[in-house]
Amino acid sequence: MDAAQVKALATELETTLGLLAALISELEGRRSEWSASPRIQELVHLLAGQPNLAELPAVLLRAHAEISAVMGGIRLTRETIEAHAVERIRDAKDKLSNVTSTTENATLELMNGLDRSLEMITQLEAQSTHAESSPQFQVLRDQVSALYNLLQFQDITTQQLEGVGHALLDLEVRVGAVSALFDRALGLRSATVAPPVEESSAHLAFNPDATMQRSRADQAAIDAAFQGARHGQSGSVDGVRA
Amino acid sequence: MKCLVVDDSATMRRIVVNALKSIGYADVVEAADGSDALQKCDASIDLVITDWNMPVMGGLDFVKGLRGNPQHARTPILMVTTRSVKEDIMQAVEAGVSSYILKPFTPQVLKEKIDQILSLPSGST
Repeated sequence: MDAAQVKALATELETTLGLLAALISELEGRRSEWSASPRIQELVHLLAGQPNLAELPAVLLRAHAEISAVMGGIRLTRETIEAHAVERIRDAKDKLSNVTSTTENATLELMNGLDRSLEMITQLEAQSTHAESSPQFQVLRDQVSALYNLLQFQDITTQQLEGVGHALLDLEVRVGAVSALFDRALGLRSATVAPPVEESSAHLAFNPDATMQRSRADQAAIDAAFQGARHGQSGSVDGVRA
Repeated sequence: MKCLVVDDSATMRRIVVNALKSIGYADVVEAADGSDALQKCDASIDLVITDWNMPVMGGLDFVKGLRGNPQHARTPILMVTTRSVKEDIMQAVEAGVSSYILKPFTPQVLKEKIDQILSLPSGST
């Protein structure tokens, strides 16, 4: 029902109620004619006792105006969600991708530098006339190799960021579902939004639970679990998440 | 000894290759995912080191595919991954993985595992 229809209905109601009020007044003026009937007396008393009947159309109009304002608020909220929340989620995902590619490029550059360092150590060792320097060159080589190995952080943090990106994607779908609910409230047609699918990370291109916090003890626990699995054992193993 | 290193991360491939070279394995072929690896894993490959989570084809499906090839039914396969849930280890064993290393790893652990799986009697991989 649109505003014009509501207004027409209100006018009609107002006219009807006005007629009713006139009838009641007329009945009041002819009290001597009907006062003998207890049934009529009761009816007139009931009608006359209804407060503000004549104001009902105005109340309905005010209610309509308030409902329209609420609908306008819902529409604005839906547009805000669409324009800001979804846009910001996409922006955050883009920034995460940018961080990933930037750190990957930087890590590869670091590796190039470490490779050159290892070559230089080998050259310096070959040119060195001091035999006693050889262990020092090996220490230096080990240090550079250790640095090289630490660069695994790039792969692991990339997997963590992929996990965050995946969570943002899930959030975007859920926000879309909320927008669709608003569309339904507004009587708009909306494409059906599929709920996010909960999936195991086993088939994803990343592990959201990747971590740098690993020790020899963790590897030992994995080894024990691996051996247990190979031999068909099923007990729990300390250090391995069940 | 020719090794195939499978990882979607270029940095991880380089780290694994570098670690392999540091422990004496210089003949290395690289692949960026399981599908690429299946194409590159010819009869000359003696050892496979693979990641688990990869696009296109993950490590687990790759291992299953490789084990389905009689040529590689007993080729040592080392899974190097961040996955540490017991269920993952069970799946890796069932797929045919020979040994399992957690990332981040050290070249020493890599060497230990390679020595271990290469010393296993034929058919135990």
